[in-house]
Amino acid sequence: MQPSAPSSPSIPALSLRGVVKTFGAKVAVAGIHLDIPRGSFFGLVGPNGAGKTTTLSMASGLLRPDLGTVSVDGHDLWADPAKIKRLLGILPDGARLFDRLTGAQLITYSGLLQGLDRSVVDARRDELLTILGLANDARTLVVDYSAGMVKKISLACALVHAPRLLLLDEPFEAVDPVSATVIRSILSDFTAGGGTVVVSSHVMDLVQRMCDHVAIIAEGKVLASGTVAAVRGGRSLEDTFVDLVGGLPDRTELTWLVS
Amino acid sequence: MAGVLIRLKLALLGNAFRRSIWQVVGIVLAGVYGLGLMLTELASLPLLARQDAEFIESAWVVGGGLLVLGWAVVPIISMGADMTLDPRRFAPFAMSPAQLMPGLAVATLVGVPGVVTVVLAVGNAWMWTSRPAMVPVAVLGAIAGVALCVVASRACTVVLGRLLASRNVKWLLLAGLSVPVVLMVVLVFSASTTSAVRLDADQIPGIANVFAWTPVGAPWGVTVAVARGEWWIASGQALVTVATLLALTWWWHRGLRETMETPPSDRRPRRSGDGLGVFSYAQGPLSAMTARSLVYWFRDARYAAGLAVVPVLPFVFFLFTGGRGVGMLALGPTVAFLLAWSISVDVAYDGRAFWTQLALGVTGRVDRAGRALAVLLLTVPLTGICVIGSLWATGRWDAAAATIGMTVGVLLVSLGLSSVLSALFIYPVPGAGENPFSAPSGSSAINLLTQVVGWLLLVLCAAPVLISGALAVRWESEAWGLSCLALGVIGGGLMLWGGVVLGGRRLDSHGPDLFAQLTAIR
Repeated sequence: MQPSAPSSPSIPALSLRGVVKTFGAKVAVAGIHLDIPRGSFFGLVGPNGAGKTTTLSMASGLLRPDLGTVSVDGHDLWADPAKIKRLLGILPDGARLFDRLTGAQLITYSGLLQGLDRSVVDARRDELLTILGLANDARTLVVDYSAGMVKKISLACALVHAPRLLLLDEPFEAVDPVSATVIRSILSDFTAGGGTVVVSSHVMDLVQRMCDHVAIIAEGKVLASGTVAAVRGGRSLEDTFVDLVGGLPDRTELTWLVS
Repeated sequence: MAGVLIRLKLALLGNAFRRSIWQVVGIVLAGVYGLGLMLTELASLPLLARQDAEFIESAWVVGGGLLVLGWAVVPIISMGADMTLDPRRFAPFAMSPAQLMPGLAVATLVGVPGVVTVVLAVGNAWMWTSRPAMVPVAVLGAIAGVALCVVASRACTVVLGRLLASRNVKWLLLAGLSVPVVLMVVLVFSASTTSAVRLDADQIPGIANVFAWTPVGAPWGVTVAVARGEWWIASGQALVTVATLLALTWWWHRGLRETMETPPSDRRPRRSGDGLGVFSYAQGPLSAMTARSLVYWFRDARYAAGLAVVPVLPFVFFLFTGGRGVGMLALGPTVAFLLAWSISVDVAYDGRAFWTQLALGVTGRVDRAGRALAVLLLTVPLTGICVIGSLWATGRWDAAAATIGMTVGVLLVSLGLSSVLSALFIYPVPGAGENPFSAPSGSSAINLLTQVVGWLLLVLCAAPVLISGALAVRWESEAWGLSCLALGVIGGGLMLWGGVVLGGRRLDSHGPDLFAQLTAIR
């Protein structure tokens, strides 16, 4: 395992130190060390069940680690979660929302609970709904949204309080190409302005194009991390990834399917 | 096909054993309870068989009819509302509803309630041993009755499932409101025609004769008619049985097809206004929390079910107290308790959406206070009407202070306790959009335990207010009344404040642990 991130003079935006989480007998995360530099667009990739979601949950203050520390801007997250969560914008994968609210109500609710002023919430809500293409569905109950719309409304809720660190689990899943482009450009602007984004994804092409840093996780451990260029070393990220997680499985022909 | 579905149901039952110890306890308790009930009834059979013919005939029809009625209603008030073989899950497979139905029907009988029903229905044919030729007829009747049980239960489940999945719970509130109207009509009607309806033991055979012609009683009535040698009646009731079976099967088939082909949705993008509703009035974290809770009271069947019961309660009280008894004065406190206690499972009701509370860094105190405030906004007008109504009905205006004191006291104490309880205990509850009366299997044992402990605590905490109130009503004492009012407002206020602070502290320190429990449940 190589040391993560290039030499950064400042404190990392997010730092995981020996984080461990087990569920019963199953070890989901087996001691992860990660430093995510400020202003980086960080991709977290790994096969299904690698521990990406568990890692992000612990970094977002939703799941208490069994061991290890999580620091945001050098402050221990689990020492005072309520205060540090003001800095975070979170989009968990497949999470339920309070879906009996309309889209507009849900964003208003998130903004007000983060302590924003009503006038600020109103302005930001309308802007977010418009830019994410949800303006026409602002009055629809979230329970009636499609999967992609749910992703977008969740993202709006994660952005409304202008966080400094975004933790997004599979943010592009089920999102249409136009919205995905819009979201990518929002996130790029966000990092250009000094914010930090961590996304998890299965889509290697996307991570290679979009992120400047990447970590490959499998079986609850970091297999490689650093700048995208350093990790892939001239090959495609996908090839590197497949090699690191043990190559492609042998597969039989499925002749009954292709006949 | 039927074999596959039955094996699937057995596998699901078996897997439930592997999930958690409480599920095992629940299933074992249900099994022991069912087995006990069954053995007790079967043990009394020799005694039943020695009774006179009239008694056997009435018992057969009334008992059997109630069994069918129970199966039809159970999916509504649950206990066994069994969605393990939810037809929506079969939609992706290449199976027509007609292919599914036999398997679903038999699988309905796999499980404790099904086995108990079959054994009881067929076993009770033994009741007819004094006329041995009748036993096979009774067995046939019992089989028809069980078939009716199955079809009625499946048809009700399918139709109800579609209603419950809808986002709009207005129908539930309307149902609650319609009960008093129906009762009023019945009361006025019965008061104008006859004197009070009284039930005597010697009326039962007459009732049974009428019951035998109803769809639920007909399969059992056939046996009785055959025993009496009344062939015309027997064939008439057989016709009713077959017609009911066919009608219910058709209804079930139609419901299944609709469920599999067009999942329910009532998407209505065009709501009036800006889509903000009560959120237009929200200014800060506390009011946002309150607004969210209020929206859920009206849009989530689990909360709305509580509201829907409120219009029914005055009539229940009226019927039990004759309208004038002092028991009527308990109406206000009862409504207060019912609504305030609903939030004792609030965190469990949030379910996996609870992460937003954590992610947003809501302080526990704001969370607790917002939920309590929403209940207060609903309860104050509702209990106000109930208190005034009960005082008017009894004419006990002298007890106004005591009644208000007890209502306020129960309301605030219940809210305070609920605020702590829901931050302490998470247990499996039906999810949003599921049958609000259904309990996830195996959860009943621990649910009941926490609820009973909660009620005991409530009685203990509310005792001073209730006792002083009762004394004021009994002795017509103004002094006791005023002290009850003071106790209710001040003591209750302190309890609510304490509940919000303690519950809030618990949420702040253990929020992620509660969330972990919530995600483990589903």
